[in-house]
This record gives sequence, C-alpha cells and structure tokens, in this order.
Amino acid sequence: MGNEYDKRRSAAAAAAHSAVPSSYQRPYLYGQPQQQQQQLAEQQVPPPPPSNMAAAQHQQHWYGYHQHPAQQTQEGGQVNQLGTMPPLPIMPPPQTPLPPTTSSWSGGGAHETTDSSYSGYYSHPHHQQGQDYESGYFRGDGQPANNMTPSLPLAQSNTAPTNGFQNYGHGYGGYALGDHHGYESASYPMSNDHSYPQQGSESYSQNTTTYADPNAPYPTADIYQNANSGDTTTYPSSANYYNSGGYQSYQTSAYSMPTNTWNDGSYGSHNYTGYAVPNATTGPAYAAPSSIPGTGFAAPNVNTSTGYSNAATGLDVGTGTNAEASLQYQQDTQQQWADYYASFQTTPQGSTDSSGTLQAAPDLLNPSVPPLTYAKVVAAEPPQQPPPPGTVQPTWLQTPVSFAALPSFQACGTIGIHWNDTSSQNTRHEEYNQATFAPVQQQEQQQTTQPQQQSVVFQKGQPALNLKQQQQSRINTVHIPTNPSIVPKVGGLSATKESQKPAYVSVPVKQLGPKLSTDVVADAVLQPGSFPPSLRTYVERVLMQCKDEAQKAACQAIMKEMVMTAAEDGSLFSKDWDSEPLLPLPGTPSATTKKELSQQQANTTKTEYNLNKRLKTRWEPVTVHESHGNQGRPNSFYGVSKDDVQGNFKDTSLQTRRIRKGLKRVHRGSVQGVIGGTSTSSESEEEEEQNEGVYLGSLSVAETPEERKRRENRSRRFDRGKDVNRGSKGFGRGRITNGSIASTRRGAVLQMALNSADSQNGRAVEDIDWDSLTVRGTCQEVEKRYLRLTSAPDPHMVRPEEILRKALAMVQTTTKNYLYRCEQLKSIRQDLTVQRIRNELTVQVYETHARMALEAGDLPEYNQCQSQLQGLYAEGIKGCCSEFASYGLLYIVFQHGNSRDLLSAMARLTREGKKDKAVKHALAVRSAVAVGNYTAFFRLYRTAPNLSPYLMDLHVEKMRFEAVKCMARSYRPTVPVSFMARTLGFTDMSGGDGDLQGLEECEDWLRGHGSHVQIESGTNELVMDAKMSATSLFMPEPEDAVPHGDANLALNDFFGRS
Amino acid sequence: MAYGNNTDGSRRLGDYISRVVDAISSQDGVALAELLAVSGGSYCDFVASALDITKDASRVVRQVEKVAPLGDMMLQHMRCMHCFFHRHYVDAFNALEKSANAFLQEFRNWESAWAMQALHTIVYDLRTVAELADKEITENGKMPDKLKGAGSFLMKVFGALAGKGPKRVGALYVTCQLFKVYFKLGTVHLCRSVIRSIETARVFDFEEFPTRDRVTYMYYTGRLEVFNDNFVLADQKLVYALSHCNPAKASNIRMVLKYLIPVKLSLGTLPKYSLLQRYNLLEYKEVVQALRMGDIRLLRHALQTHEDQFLRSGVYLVLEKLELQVCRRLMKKIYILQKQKDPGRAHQVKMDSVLKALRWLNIDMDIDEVECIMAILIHRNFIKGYFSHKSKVVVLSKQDAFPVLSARPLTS
Repeated sequence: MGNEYDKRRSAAAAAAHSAVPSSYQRPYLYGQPQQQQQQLAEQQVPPPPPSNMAAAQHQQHWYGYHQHPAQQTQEGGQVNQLGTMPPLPIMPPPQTPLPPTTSSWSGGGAHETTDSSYSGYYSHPHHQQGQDYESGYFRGDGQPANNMTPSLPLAQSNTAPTNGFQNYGHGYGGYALGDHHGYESASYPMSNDHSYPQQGSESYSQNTTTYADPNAPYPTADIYQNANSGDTTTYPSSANYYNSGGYQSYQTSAYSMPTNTWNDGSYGSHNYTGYAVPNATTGPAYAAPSSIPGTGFAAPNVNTSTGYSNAATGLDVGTGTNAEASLQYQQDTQQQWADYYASFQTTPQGSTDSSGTLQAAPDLLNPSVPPLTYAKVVAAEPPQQPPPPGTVQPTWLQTPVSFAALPSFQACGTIGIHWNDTSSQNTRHEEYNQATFAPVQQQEQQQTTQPQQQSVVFQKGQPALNLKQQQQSRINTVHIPTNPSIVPKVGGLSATKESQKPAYVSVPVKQLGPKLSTDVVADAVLQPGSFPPSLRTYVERVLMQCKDEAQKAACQAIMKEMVMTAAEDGSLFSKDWDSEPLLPLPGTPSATTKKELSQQQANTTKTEYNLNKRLKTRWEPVTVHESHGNQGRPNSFYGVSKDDVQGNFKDTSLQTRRIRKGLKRVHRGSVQGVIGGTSTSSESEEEEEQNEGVYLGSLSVAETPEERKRRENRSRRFDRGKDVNRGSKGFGRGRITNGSIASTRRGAVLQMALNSADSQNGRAVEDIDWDSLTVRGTCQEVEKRYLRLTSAPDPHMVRPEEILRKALAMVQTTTKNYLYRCEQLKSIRQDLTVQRIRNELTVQVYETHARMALEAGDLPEYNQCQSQLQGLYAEGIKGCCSEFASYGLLYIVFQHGNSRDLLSAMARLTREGKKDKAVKHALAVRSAVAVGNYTAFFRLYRTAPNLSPYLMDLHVEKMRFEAVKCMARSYRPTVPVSFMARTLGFTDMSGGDGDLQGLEECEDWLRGHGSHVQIESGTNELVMDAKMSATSLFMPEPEDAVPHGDANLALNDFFGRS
Repeated sequence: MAYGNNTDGSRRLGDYISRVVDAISSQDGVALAELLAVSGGSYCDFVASALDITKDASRVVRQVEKVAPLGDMMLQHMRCMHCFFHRHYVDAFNALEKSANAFLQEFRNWESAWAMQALHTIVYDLRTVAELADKEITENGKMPDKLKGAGSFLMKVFGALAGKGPKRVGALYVTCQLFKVYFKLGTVHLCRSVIRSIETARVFDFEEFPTRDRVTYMYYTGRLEVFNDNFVLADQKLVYALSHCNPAKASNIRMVLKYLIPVKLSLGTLPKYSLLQRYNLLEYKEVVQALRMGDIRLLRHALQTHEDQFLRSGVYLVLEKLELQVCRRLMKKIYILQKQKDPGRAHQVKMDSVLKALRWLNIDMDIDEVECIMAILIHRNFIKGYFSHKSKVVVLSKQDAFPVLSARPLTS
C-alpha cells in the first residue's frame, strides 16, 4: 500500500513540475486577487434573481447558486481557466463535459452517472475531478486500472479539478466503509482505517493520470496534491461524522475544520497524524478520532514546520518523502482548508490568502467584506445546503432553484473567490517555493485578521460540505467491490442512487440495507464483465429518449435501482433487457420548478425542512437544518461556539449535547413546515415503486403520503413535548407493536393514546387492542441489518415468519464471522418481537443466538437470549430446555455466583430435568466449584457436553489458580508438574503427544503465575516447590484486557469483521 | 323494610365515623388502629355490611365530611373494607393505597407519633391486601404488581419515619414489613438501602426499638447474611433473634432455628437431637448425624431427600458445603483409630485407609479426588498438617490436628 501510494505521489509531483512551466495560467493567477475582490464587492449587493433559472434548474445541482453574479463573463473565463473556480452553470466552459448520454454506459459511464447525480457538475470543470476520483477509487480498491481510461479523457477535456470536489469525493471512502460496518459505534474507527489507505492510493493514481495528460489545463501539482491531502484531512472529520449516529461526529467535523484553518500548523499535524495512524492500521490510536483533533487544537500555535513534517510522514508511511512533497502538502493542506471554508465563508478565506505572497488580497478583501457579509453568508447557508442531497431528485428541483434566487448568491460569490484564491496560492507556491514560511504567515494572519465570527461561518459551512462528502462517499461505497469494467455503469448507477437517496431517505439504516446487499451482490454478481451487454444497450436506449439532463438524471436513478434490484434478486443475467419496456419518461421537472419558483422563500425553506427533517429524524447526520428562524443563535446551533472553536475542545461530549439540543430546537421549529408538505413528482413515485421490496422498502418510504403522515405524527409528538413524554406507556408500547395496518389508523391509535395520556391516567393501555395493531411484515429480504427501533416498526421493513425462517437458516449456514451473525440474529429477533411471534421459531432463534454467543464469548448477548428463553420455555414452547437450563446454571455459578439466583435456578429444575445429562453435569460442576474440588472440576471440564466448555472456560483460569494455591499450601515438599498438569486439565492422561504439549503448557502457566518449578535432583522430575510457591503465587493481569473493560468491543475484533 | 335497612346502614356508618372522629380528636392511636384495621379487624365486616344496605351514598359522604381533613381517606378506606369484605382484593388494594396515601399525608403533619399504631395497621393491611390482590391477579392470568406497589409505598412510609424525632420508633416495623415484601418478591437486594439507614443512624439506639421489631429485623438480616455466606454475622444476628424471641412463640423460634442450625453447623456446633425434635426440624437430623459420624453418604442422602425443602428455604448451599466437615470428621475417626492401634505413627494417615473407608461408604472417589479433598481440607484449615504426594500420606500436625472450626480463620 505504502509503496504504491508513494510511487503515485512522486509521479504526481513530477508531473506537477513538468506541468508548472507549461501552464500559461500563472500570470493570470496573479491578477486574480483583484478580480476576486470585484467579485466580492458584487456579492455583497444582494444579487438579483438569475434570469436563467430554468437552466439552473437543469443543473439540479446544489451549485445552482453559482448562477449568481460570479458568472460575469470575465470571471467565467477565469474560472474556466483556473479550473478551480466554481463552474457557471449557464455558460459551460470550453471544456464542458460531453453530454453524458453518449458515453454514459459504454466507457465513461462512471463519470456520466456522476454527472447525473450532481447535475450541477456538468457545467463545472470540477465534476470531472469527481469522476476521476471515482475511478481512482476503484482502482485503489485493487481493481484493474482500466476503468480509469474511460473517465480520464473526459477529465482531461474539462479538466479543472476542483479541490473542493475532490475533497468531497474523498470523504467518501470513509463513509462508505463506515456505513457498511454498521451502526455499532465501535465499528467506526475501524472502518475509517480501512478506507484511508484506499483513498490515498486512489486519489493519487488519479492525479498522476491527470497530470500526465498534456491537455490538462493548468493543474498544478499543488492542486492535485492538495486534493489528496485535502482528502486526507477532511477525511477524519467526515469519518467522525458518521461515528456516532451523526451528531457527535457532526460536531467533531464542525469544530475540527475551523480550527484547522485558524492554525494551519497545528491542524496540519493533527490531521496528518490522524491519517498516518490509519495507514499503519493501528486501531486504538485512531479509535478516538475526536481526541486527535482535540490535541491538535490544544496547541493551535504549534510550529508550522513540525506540523507539516508530521503531515508528510503521516502520508508517506514507510516511504521516503521528498521535500517537495512535504512542501506541497503544506500548501495543499492549507489550500484544502481554504477551499473548504472559502466555499462558504468569504472573509476568512480572503485573509488566509492574503498572507504570504498575495499582498493585495488581505487589504482589499478585508475592507470589502464588512461584518455584514457574515450575516449574509449565514443566511445563504441554509438554502445552499439542502440541495446537495436532492440534486438529482425532481422533488428537489424546486429547492435548488429557489435557492439560486435566494441569498445564496452571496455564497456563490464566495466560492468563486475562494477558489481563485487557492489556485493563486498554488501558483505562488510553485514559483517561490516558500511553502515553509508561508503557512506560518498565514497562520498568523488568520489569527489576527479573522474575526471571531468566522467560526460561526465555518460551522455553517461545514455541514454543507459534510453533506456533500457524504454523497460522494456513498458513491464510492457502492463502487468499492465492483470490477473496473463494470464500474462505470454500476458505479454510476449506484452513485446516482445513493446521491439521491439522502433526499428521500429518513433513516440511514435504510440506506444501509441496500448498501449491504450491494456489497454482497457485488461480491457475488458484479464480477468482471458480469454486466450483460443487453443491459448496457437498454440503458443507452432509455437515456437516449431523455430530453434534458434532469430527465436523464431521473432515468438513471431509476435504472440504477433496477439494476441493483436485478443484481440482488439474481435476475441481472436472466432478465431479457432487450425486451424490457423503456422507462416512461419522468415528468419534466423544470415545468414544476418554474411554478415553484414563484413560491415564497419561506415556502421553500419549509420544504427543505421537510425533506431535511427526514435526515434528522434518525441517525443521518443532519447538516442542513439551519432555519432562518434560528439564525439568531447560530453559534449554539451547531454546537460550536466561537469560544469552543478557539480553545476548549476537550469536552466533546458537552458539545455533542449542545448540538443535540440545537438540533432538537430546530426540529421543533421546523415541524410546521412538514405539514406544508412537498409535492411529489410522478418520477419519484415511480421510483418508489421500483424500489419497493428491493431495498426492504426502506428507501422508498420517503415521500409517500403514508410516510408523510407518519412523519407528521412523529413531529407532532415532538411538538407536544413533555406532555406526551410524561404521558403513557401505552403510547410507547403502541409504537412498538402497531404498524401493520395502514398508518393512518396507526396514527389514529397513537393519537388516541396521546389523548388519553393527555387527558388522564393513561388508561388507554388496556383499551388498545394490541392484537389488531401487531405488525405483519411484508419485507421479503432475507438479510437485514439491525437497528434499534426508534419508532413504530414499518411493515415494509419487517420480515414475515417464513422469511425469518430463511434468515435463520441463512445465519446458521453462513460462514461469516460472529459479528455479522449476531447482527442478523438481532434483526431477526427484532422482527419476531415486533410481530409478537412467540413460537418454536422464536425459541430456535434465541437458542441459535445463545449458542453462537457462547461460542464467541459474547456473554451479555448470551445472557439476553438466556433470559428470553427462560420466558419462552415457561410458556411451554418446546426447545432444548435442559441444555439451556444447564447453561443457565453454569452461567450463574461462574458469572456472579449469587447464591440466591443459584438457588432459584436450582429450584426451577424439574425432576425430569435433573435427570438430563447436561443438567446433571452442570449440577456436578456447581458442587465442585462450591467445594473447590478442582480435580472434579477439570474432569467435568473434559467431559462437558454441548457448549458447556465455553462457559466453563470462564472459570478455568480462576479454578486453576485456586487449585495451585491450595496445592502450594497443603503439599509438602513438592508436587510433580505432571500430576498438576493432569489435575488442572492441561493433559488428558491419554499419554499421547497432547500430554507433552500440555505438560509444557502447564509449566509455562505455573511459571507465569509465580510458582517455583524446578527439576528434582533425585528423580529428575519436574516439580513445583510447594513451600516456596505458596508465597509467590500471583494472578497475572489478563493480557487481553481492554481499558473499557469489554474485550468484545476491542478494535481488533472489528478489524476482522468485514 | 328496605328503607329501614337503609337508615340502619346509615346509622351504623354514622356510628363508625363518629368513633373515628373521636379517636382522632382524642389522639387515641390504638383505637384508631382498631377502627381502621381491614384484615382481621372487627370493624371491617361491620362497615362493609352497613355499606351493603346503604343506598344513600350522599348521606355517607356528608357523614364522612365530619372527619375532615381525613374525609377522602375515610371514604376510600370504607370502600376498601367493602371490597375486601366481598373479596375484590384488587379493588380493595387500590382503595387502600389511596386511603393510606391520604393518611400518610396527614400523619406527616402530626407532630407527635400518637397515630403510629394506626399507621402500622395500615402498613400491615396494605401488605397483606397486596398479597391477596396479587393472588387474584395471578389467577386471572396477569402479571401481579400490587405487592411491588405496596413495597414502594412502604418505602415512602419509611421515609416519613426514618428521620429523627419521635416517629423513628415506628420505622423498624415498616422496615420489617418491607423485608417481608422484598423476600416475597425475591428482590432482597432492595433491603440493603433500608438496612443502611437503620444501622448507620447513630441518633437512635437499636435497643430502643420494640422487641418485636428487633427480633424480626435480626431474623431477616440474619437470613440475608446466610445468602451472602457470611456465617459469623449470620450467627450473631440469628442468635440475637433467638434470644430475644418470645419463648412462647414456638413457630417464631422454629423459623429462626431453621437458619440458625445450618449456620451453627457450618461453624462446627451441632444441635442436640431434642432441639430438633422440639421444634420439628427433623430434616436436619440426618445432616447432623452425618456430621457426627463422618458419613458422606448419609449427608448426600439427606440433602437429596430434603432437596426441595432446603432449596426453598435457601439453606441447601450451606448444607452442601458441610461435606468437607464430614470428611474432616472421617479423617479424625481414622486418626483416632490409628492412635488406638499405634500411637507413634497415628499422625500419618495413608490415603489407602481413607479410600477404604470411602469405599465402605459406597462413595465413588479415586485417589486423585481424595487427594484433592485432603488438600482442600488442609488449605482451608479443617486439618492441620501437610500432604505428601510421593508417599500418598496426610501428615497431621502433632498438636491440634483438628482445630476448632469456629476459631479457624475464614479462608473462604
């Protein structure tokens, strides 16, 4: 990994050097700052609504706001040339990408799809970068590099890789993997680690290629590397982002970014160290991502050079770093951050850039951006953010467009400027090679010049960025397992899908469902060349009939779903794609959008909230929820106040809490908007149909009236606040059990419960007919991820009994590791519970899980199953009653040894039960333990039936130690080790090779516990000196101990998880 | 006729209520307690039957208002009596809980503890009615929760009493009722907090509590110590309970002895047969005999025979551990026999002789296991000496080879 990475990087560096002289761009760049200024000035005047709304609409891109003044001709040119400027949607630069259709499915499918998903990209030079990214990504995954070729040409033609975009692309891998790994918080760090290396290599390779191409306009090494470094730097934050269900990570990213900008030096180091760690795959260090940033922040004034050196080493793990590279990195990182922030915050960026060689910038920029701008930017924020998720979605069309007309213009301008800055920075660096001191200067400048408000802005901007990152990361996720030749198509498809999803999907799990399956399917189905040619042609045919980009995007989304479906149900190859009817053309979104345009801004925002709220409702990191009403306290909103940014990063939990609070507040505020509802376009409905049953119905639920209603109820719940909470158990239970019936009815019942709760005494619990409310699942998916329910179960996501049987069989036969099986079993259990299925299947599921948990040493999980089984057996449901009675006894004996529990467990045994072999054994073990009879214990250990040995393992160590203590005290003068080995269960007295081994083991064990083992002179026998050992025995610290006490949560387990 | 009954009922109710009013106004706690007693109280039937024939509810309400501020409480209480009389225990419990709540409210306001007796009566009734109600609920196939509710209410009462002042005397009674609830519910861990507040408060000497409550308290805490395998403490507490117990209450003494005997056995004190006989504790007879004779087989047999009983009372695990003592006794017997034969070498007990003895008892143990037992005996100070693995001999200490068990250091 390291090698490859290094190679690519050096190649990229070389390319950069060669490219620099040839770039005609440089002079231009110098002139740039002034232009920026102009831009800025223009921005400050609230921009008039763009005339070419429709066009913007087409773009559907969250960069719809680009349409604003920034597009003035000269700037436009500039943008194109620079390639770093945000593209102007209206006037595509000369390098404007080809219409996706042509190339889409054949060669450049990958980029094509990307386009569709982020249609805004079209006009953007950057988007190419994104594509490259993708391809690079695939490659990084170990796929052949062929797939690069299709995307590359395009990239070259358009080339103007934008750092920002690359970053987004980057954030990805992390997200993807993280997602894949699931929700257990512990798994995240690990996933991050995984993704890191991949990303690094990927991005590099990509860069190299781009460089090599002479056509690439101006890309300087800096830019590219910047992209890489940017990726890495941003990465941690995005990864964090997903860590704990969104909120916490959210906060991390929010604060980490700003700080970084503040002090480049320190951030550099911190980020890179963070990066380095994952590369080295040292889990623990990375396990606490938040802590790393924390330290980084703690010393904001860290010497820049050291910071960078760290960075460099971090990046080039184990490989020689050349000075240039490191320098570039410095620049890059700075740029990177600059890009980040710049995209939403004008002033800070300006100041950053102004440092160093660009003297004009600071002076000019600062005056030109009065504090007022901040407010404006803030105002612009909310509208900007939402679009990303919805880019492709017709439903979303309105929003971006309306945004375009909104204050967001401000931000557009900012971005433009910003990019210019960065590029200029780059060039500057190349020329002067002053990287070393430049950062320091910048740092100072930043600290001095940047007002505190900056932090606010950062926070605002950050979420949006994150969101984008997510999206791109999703794209990558889907790609990961795919083959290069397929990647263009599948990747593209999935990319579209994934990028769309955020708009619809309220629950991350739901997204996960498909992803998981995608992975699986990808493993199994999407092997090289596995796409039937007929499918390609089919896709092309469909795309041909599209009239505009929006339609195309929609079509692609739908088709992607289709392909995924097909892949999942195995009909990918069996299906006759040639005879498949072409998709009905989705309604032209632009028409609707035009109407929508007339809507009040307030309306739009409401819509946004509605959509965004979905994100917020569950774990999805909700970045977009800035509401106008909440502008008053922007600081608290994202949980990072100025103060926080500047200094106190230690108390992350506090921040998290604050963030949560903030979100909640917004949530309530936005509830009204939800009811206002969004218009659902026919397209999305169509797509939903497609989705149905494929993605556990989960992806599709977004915009159905049902869902809306449910959401309404949910939000009402929040509205009611404490009344409801105080209210009734009935309500809570209702949420769990109901759900099978039409949600209207469900809503009614909930309402009823609510009312009764409100009115008096919660008597409703008895009155509700739970039977009629019990969910009957309709999900046909055998595999399902587990997520603890936070609301009433959705029948679409619940599997009926027969499917659960299949699922159980699948789990029993799968060869995947315990964590996977455990999760599957948990989801089965959940489905059983919500459907109130209590029969032999239930018993089997719990028994299976209990056994697997025992084998894996997962005692908490085992205990859960055991207690459930106890109840199930008590109901008279048949199962391996005695077996589990014996486990139960042993568990009590070994785990807590409470004599009361033991007594009641023994009293529960029936007369017949006591005759069972396993139970007898357990009782014998119990009495051996009670007396301390180690001989009997280890004999029983050897003959333990079923899985009892796993339980007895818990006690073996303790028993051995007690036994040796006992022997050391009572035996004189010596005890033969062979006898001890036999007594303590090291050898089985068979006299075979195992005995020898056991003997050595025993000797090691004895020595390890402080006993004196020696060879007796007379008999030449290995003996333990009892008297000496009596005082020297000790129990060594367990080697596998973990600080948090539960070895099952150790990172290493998660490394093995995938 | 009906009219007459009605007036009769009203008159009787009026009579009852005026008595309550009198008791309260004269601060006669004992009388009030008698008036309020539900289970086993003489007024329960009286009130219930009066309510049966009374049609004029408003008149009752009017009458009850005389008791203000306990009017509501009396209404609920009468309702409880009525329900209890008709064996609607769940309803009775619900009414009683409300009544008790109201009473407690008032009780808190009273400076002196004159109504302690009445409060205790209510607490007792609450517990007993809750048990009955739970029984009723279980018969209907639902989850019983009334006793639990009673427990938490008693906790509240305890809170009202446990502070300083004259009311503290009554706290121990409530504690004992709580113990009963918790033991019945199997949630003995909840006892800990109550015990702590009783035992740590130095403002009130334990001896000032009524003897009745002290004995009950010691009995329960002693049982708790048995569960914790803390035999020495258990011994102290149970002995205290036994010595303060009313000698006339044989059943109470028996209850104490049921736990004290196993505790004493494990501390090496054996009861006389007459004691077992007198208090009908013959289930321990064989155990004691086994201990006397060193007969492992007999012990095992006894445990098996009375397994259910011992498991239920919770002494099974205690008795089971007596096996080591039985072994010790066996060793001692062998030692004594050897001493009679050859005093010089008596302190060396060969494994062979032990094995022989065990085989004679039909105990299936091989040499390894016996060796293990011997090692444990030495390790736990049942025997003084050491074991020689090479020659398979237990070498006993020349003096005090079998130390007094109660004096032996407590190594598990």
